[in-house]
Amino acid sequence: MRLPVRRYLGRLGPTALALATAGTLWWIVAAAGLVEDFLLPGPIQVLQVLRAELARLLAHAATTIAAAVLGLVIALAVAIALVVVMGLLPALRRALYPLLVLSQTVPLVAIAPLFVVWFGFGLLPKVVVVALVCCFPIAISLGDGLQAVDPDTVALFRSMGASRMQRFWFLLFPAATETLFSGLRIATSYSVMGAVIGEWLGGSSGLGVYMVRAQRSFRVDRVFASIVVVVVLSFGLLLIVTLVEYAARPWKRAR
Amino acid sequence: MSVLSVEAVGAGYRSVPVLEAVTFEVGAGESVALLGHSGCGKSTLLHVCAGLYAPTHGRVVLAGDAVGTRGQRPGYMQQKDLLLPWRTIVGNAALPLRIAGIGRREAHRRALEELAEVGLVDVAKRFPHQLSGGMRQRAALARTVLHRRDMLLLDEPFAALDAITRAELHAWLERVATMHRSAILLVTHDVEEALILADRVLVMGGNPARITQPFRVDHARPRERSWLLTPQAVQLRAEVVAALAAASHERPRPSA
Repeated sequence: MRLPVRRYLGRLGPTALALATAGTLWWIVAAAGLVEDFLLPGPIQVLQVLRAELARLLAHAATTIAAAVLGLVIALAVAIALVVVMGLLPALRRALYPLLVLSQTVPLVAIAPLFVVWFGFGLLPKVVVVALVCCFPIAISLGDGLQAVDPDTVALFRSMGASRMQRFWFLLFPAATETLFSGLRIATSYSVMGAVIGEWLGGSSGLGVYMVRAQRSFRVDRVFASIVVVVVLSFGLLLIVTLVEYAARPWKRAR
Repeated sequence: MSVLSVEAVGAGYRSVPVLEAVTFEVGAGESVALLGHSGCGKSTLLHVCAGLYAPTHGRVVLAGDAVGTRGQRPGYMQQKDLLLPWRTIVGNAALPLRIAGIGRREAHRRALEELAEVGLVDVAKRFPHQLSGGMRQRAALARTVLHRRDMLLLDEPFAALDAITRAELHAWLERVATMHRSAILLVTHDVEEALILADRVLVMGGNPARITQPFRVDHARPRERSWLLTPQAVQLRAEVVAALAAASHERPRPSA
């Protein structure tokens, strides 16, 4: 497998420029003393804190990653189960679809504290928050893939005498994965954030826990350092998903 | 001896009759074209022959058994190639074998053999979107032949192609059909295509549709396009066009 490194590097130029510009602006604002440093620490101060706190941040990050990845996997499994069931039984689709939408409109901030009451302070409530946030985009993208199947192709399968299971494995399932990855990328970018929100509510470790502690002791520089870690983790997961997609769908890169 | 036998077939949608008492046979290795204006019921007839719709009257017999029973299903190809974008050409061609329960390795081996015979082996490892429209239709026909080769139902298979590619594919189809001794039932609205490819041309029309006039094309296949310019072909063409016009006059009828 040869990655088109050169093409990506070419595309990275504008991105790097934009990042550098934003960082420079941030640095200028902080260095000029326009804002007090306990309200907005400069980028250099944040990097220094990041280096000093790195070991502790990584330990917290391990908890957060566990919750994010576990929640994502559960969301994927539930979404696949939902789509299979809704695809096979249209009546159940009409029954479940509104519930699925409802799950997205419930304000997380209101319901997440209840998860702590229900599931305690361990990993479970965080995983539930992540799964709740991530299930919807994955299920929608899978459902779109199924809807996009050409009825003529279904007729072709019938003319070849395909059974229901064969139609599912050779046609519907691959068709759903055609659109799966767009939803999975959205879900992945939400997953770390979902875990952090879950951790805000209480627990013994995790980046959310670290953030709350830093906030309460007015260490804004530590809050920023943990934000940097959250961003890096989210990008890391997104990169993994992109690589999996690249490996799993050879027909997309063959030009 | 006939491969496909359509016996007094009637069909309809929601009690609106579309076909009425359609009867004809396709002999082994014979090529029959169904010609008619758009929406006259040609495709419905082909769907019935493919076992996709049950006829309301009569029956379709393929190699001695009613279509759909005992695994009797003719090869069926549509205007769209319907190749699966996530499968390579050999993977797409092997699909009917996989559906028949043959393992992946063996199915691919047999599909590759067929692709080699029809001149597609060079693109076997490519994906459909990497191929031209004409090549994709060839791959779709290879897939059809791998499903069943003695009887091919072709539903306007070349209608979406440009004229030059279409002429190439006509010649290519004749080679493949001769090689496999395939009988062909071709649905088309292109009179020239029917005259180039068919031993018999059946003009359809009326509402509900039936076969209004059969024609025999007395010239050995495969035919050169230049044959269309001979007095015999020009005369036949004029007769077929007149029959088509007469058939489409019967069209208006208040819907039930």
